[in-house]
Amino acid sequence: MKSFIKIIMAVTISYCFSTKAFAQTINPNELINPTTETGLLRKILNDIYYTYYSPMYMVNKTPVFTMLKVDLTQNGKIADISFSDNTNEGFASAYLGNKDIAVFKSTIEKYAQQKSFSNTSILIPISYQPNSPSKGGVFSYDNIQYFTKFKGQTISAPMTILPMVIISVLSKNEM
Amino acid sequence: LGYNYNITNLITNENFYLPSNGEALTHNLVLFFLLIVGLMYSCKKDLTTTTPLDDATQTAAIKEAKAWFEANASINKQATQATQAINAINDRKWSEGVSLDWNKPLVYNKNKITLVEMPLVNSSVVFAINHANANGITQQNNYTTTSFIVQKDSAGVFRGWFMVLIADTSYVNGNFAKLKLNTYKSHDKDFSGRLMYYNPKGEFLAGWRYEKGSITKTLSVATQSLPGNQPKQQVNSQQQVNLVMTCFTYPFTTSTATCVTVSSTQTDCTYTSTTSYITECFQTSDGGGGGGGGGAGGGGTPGNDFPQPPVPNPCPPVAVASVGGQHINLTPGGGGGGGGGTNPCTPVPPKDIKNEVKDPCLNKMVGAVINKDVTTVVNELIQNVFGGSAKVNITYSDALTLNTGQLGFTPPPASLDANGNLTITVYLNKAELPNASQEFISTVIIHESLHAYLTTTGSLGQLQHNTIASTFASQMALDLRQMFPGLTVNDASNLAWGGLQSTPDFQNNIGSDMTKLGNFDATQAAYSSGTKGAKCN
Repeated sequence: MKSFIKIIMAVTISYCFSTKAFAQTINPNELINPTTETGLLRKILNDIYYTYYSPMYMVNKTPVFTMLKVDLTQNGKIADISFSDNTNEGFASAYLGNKDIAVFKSTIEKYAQQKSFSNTSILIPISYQPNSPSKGGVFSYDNIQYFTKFKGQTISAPMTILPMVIISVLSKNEM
Repeated sequence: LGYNYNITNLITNENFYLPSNGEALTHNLVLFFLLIVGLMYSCKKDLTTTTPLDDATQTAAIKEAKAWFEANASINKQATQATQAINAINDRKWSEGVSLDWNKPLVYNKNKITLVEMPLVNSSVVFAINHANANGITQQNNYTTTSFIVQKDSAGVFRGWFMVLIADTSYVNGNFAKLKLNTYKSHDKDFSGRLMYYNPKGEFLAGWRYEKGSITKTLSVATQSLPGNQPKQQVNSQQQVNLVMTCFTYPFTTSTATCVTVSSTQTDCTYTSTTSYITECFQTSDGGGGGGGGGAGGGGTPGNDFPQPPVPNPCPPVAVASVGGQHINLTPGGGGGGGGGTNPCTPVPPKDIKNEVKDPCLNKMVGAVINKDVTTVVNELIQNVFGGSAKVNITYSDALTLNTGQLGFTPPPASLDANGNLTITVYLNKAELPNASQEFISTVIIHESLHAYLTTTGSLGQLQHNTIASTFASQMALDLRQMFPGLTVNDASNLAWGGLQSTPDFQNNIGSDMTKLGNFDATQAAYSSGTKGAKCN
């Protein structure tokens, strides 16, 4: 049985490590400026993740559970982009005031075009979890109540919810 | 030999091939002519100074060479079990699959340098321009011969490299015995084909194209693959002079065979093949005599001698990993090697893997963990992805100030560099890490290097820890024990899980068990504070 497990491990790792073939398939431009649906979605989520998983933001020790909403026009252009009403200003401005916000928006619009989104809203749940893996109760009733409200209004269809972005930061020895 | 090295150093110097203006070109052409004359003289002189060895001296030389080869080969095999399993499946080191025929050595002596040449048994390593040609790996009549050269220089330092000959079919013309006319010392006056040198790790060192006994082209490793298997012609636009170099790039398949004798008439072999790309270049204007040979000594002299290998690494084959690993620098180098520093034997990292860490402790640890001579699986992964490709590079730095408690940080690059390449920077916490043990620092470096690797795969940042936990944590522990043989299995495992506490795998394996969690926390605390393990400073 142990041998079997070792073989499975070796095959799995060797697959992951078949780097000579892999190295030839790396397309740096696709990583930075993706064109595929998968690549665009990855960049959208990574843009959010690394906005908060950065030394500049990680000094904040307040947990945040929020929703980013992007309203799209009939042409798939961004009409509005905002965080749910339970979001503190520092968290919102870290993304909306980011120096790369124009790139963030451009990526979202490219993704919307590929998905043929129009007249809809994209919702992206975001959870910022400092002091991980501690999972103590950190959200009040008001906090959760306002999670689904934007500018005082409850969200309404049509909408598309993208995968949740979880930024988990250890209280010590984070790497 | 020393004279030859010096001459060819000048010939192959980039300044010769890449002068910045016409004046430099004229100057260099004159120099080239003078050097060719000198080279021809030196080759002739070398032939005359080759001294025959008596039987006793030859026997002693063979015995020494064999002892050196076997000692290094066995060290090379001291990898972890997982490493061996991977290599068996995927990318085995040559020296692990190579059998030399010690009954058929050729021994030469030149200027107090002894060279012992052995053919490979059953051609256990073979090269081919396409996969189909590699199928005849154990056939007697194939167009490839490979031998291994062991050199002992006047200082008593041993080096080794492979010499591979791929003869043209027109040269062999059905008479495969002609291949035996070609040895390291001399070649058939009508030899046509390719001659290539590889170090024991299978890394290309130098190569030449021969036509009717003369060098017509130089070979180099292509910087990128080509779609399909068709040779493609390209003009090297990087040449800044009027010497137009026309280049053809071919896929070259390197195959190794592990054979089991089933009966006196049947042998079952398992083949492992990898493909790399070799570029052949020749000068299409101004003639020039066909490339001039390259390497470190031979040059393009049609005649008896094959070119000498590239300039050996000035470093003797000594342990290069200073953290307890028993790694031996088996390679003869890759041409040049450092120079200008106070210690020419300081390992020079590949250009695509840069260590820009200023803190001396962290700098030393990066050099010890991420090093082309270190045989840990994760290190080899990093070397293969970043060290062999100009497209993706990695830099280690401590320039960014990290928050307290954040030991490393590997953000994805926001843009490509001017050449369209992706450079990922790994930042290390210079305020906290130097106080930790070497074991702990190594863990952080490996952990962050895996982030860099996963970034190149397009892995989502938030999922990278899950992948490290599920795929790499066990291997990290094995690698740590390889680097630090005194590390216990439990401590290595607890170190490898560091930074992964939020992952499902950690929670399932350690987090849900109070005893294991307590041991994990204790290990992390002890090694991060430096109270356990080897101090860095």
